[in-house]
Amino acid sequence: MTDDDLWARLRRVDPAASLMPIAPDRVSRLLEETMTDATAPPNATAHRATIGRYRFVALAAAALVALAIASGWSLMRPQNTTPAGIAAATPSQPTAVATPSKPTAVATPSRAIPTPQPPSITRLTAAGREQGRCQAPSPQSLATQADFVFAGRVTGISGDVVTLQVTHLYKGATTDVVRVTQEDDTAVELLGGVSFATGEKYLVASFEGGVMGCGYSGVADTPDLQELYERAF
Amino acid sequence: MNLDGRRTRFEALAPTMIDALRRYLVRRTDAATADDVLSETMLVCWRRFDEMPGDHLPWAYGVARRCLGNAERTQRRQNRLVARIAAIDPPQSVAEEPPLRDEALTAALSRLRAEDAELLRLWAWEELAPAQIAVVLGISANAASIRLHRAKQRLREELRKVGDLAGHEESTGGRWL
Repeated sequence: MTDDDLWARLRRVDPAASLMPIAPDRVSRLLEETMTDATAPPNATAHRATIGRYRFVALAAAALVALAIASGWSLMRPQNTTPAGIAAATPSQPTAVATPSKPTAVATPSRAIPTPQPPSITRLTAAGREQGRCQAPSPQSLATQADFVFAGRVTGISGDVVTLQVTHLYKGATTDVVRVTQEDDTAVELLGGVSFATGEKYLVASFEGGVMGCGYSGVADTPDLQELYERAF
Repeated sequence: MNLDGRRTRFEALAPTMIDALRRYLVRRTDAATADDVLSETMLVCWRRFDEMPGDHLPWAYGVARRCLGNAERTQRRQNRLVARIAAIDPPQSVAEEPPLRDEALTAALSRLRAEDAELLRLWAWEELAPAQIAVVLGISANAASIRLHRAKQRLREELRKVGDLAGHEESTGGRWL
């Protein structure tokens, strides 16, 4: 099948092929609404095309949900009261096992002792700038819309990833470390409208794996932000 | 550009833009959302009119693409389908009542990665050249060209899997009508 054939064949399934023309009065109404918009013509740098990032955010969010469920389960499940059936079916935490090759192994108590776990990590993504218009942040929206909210200190910025140590979890699955990855070519210090600096403490709200900008995330000692978080949680 | 000149120029471009954007949106979401996003897209185009390049449609599609992404995100927030997000992506790729009769093609398209399917839609439905697709997606022209080429190959491959390309020598009048 040539490109032309393929093209023609795709054209035939175009859902808009049978679209009725738009009514002229709808066009004029639309134009009127558009051009009476009170917003002044913007400065050209106020917006950036960050095309194609939402799909990625969605995928990242799916990964986050999976991760959150997994880490939440592994952290919160009862250690000693797990029914045997589930314990067998669950990839359990590594436990000290006396093996024949190590005759000098310390006697292992009959009950498994969890070995130190590597810190659990939650990953978020952030757009360089918030797109569209922002409404004033409200505690209600923060409490209901955000699905993962925490206070944390930036421990490192490497490449396009900011790492934060969680100091307080307001909402969401327990985690030790959060890594925020930038979604476009914006400087990593400015993610989701939040400017990150090592050692600083931040309040970060996220939804479906994406950092919420628009005044919902920022430096922790911003009075407005503190008040917002206090009222929300 | 003074405000009047700006208005006049925008008014001149608007009808074709509205028509093209409306089709773009109807192809990718339900009618109500398409309507909302059309208004939003036109608003953004108006505000950013000074940035609009000469070949304005691909640029406008890029704006629509982002507005649609925003709308769908908001919708998801409202629906709070957090756990089901994976099922929502890709967004409804075709209208709810598609006039589709080419089952094999539809099935093959749906099995492609969302990115590949979108490239093919921009190519065939919006009738864009690779360089224009690049503007919509915010990628380089070279990347768009390569990805489009691969997407076509993958679509052919999917069609072949369902045995559909067996008779591809025959003329294009055919089985899907």
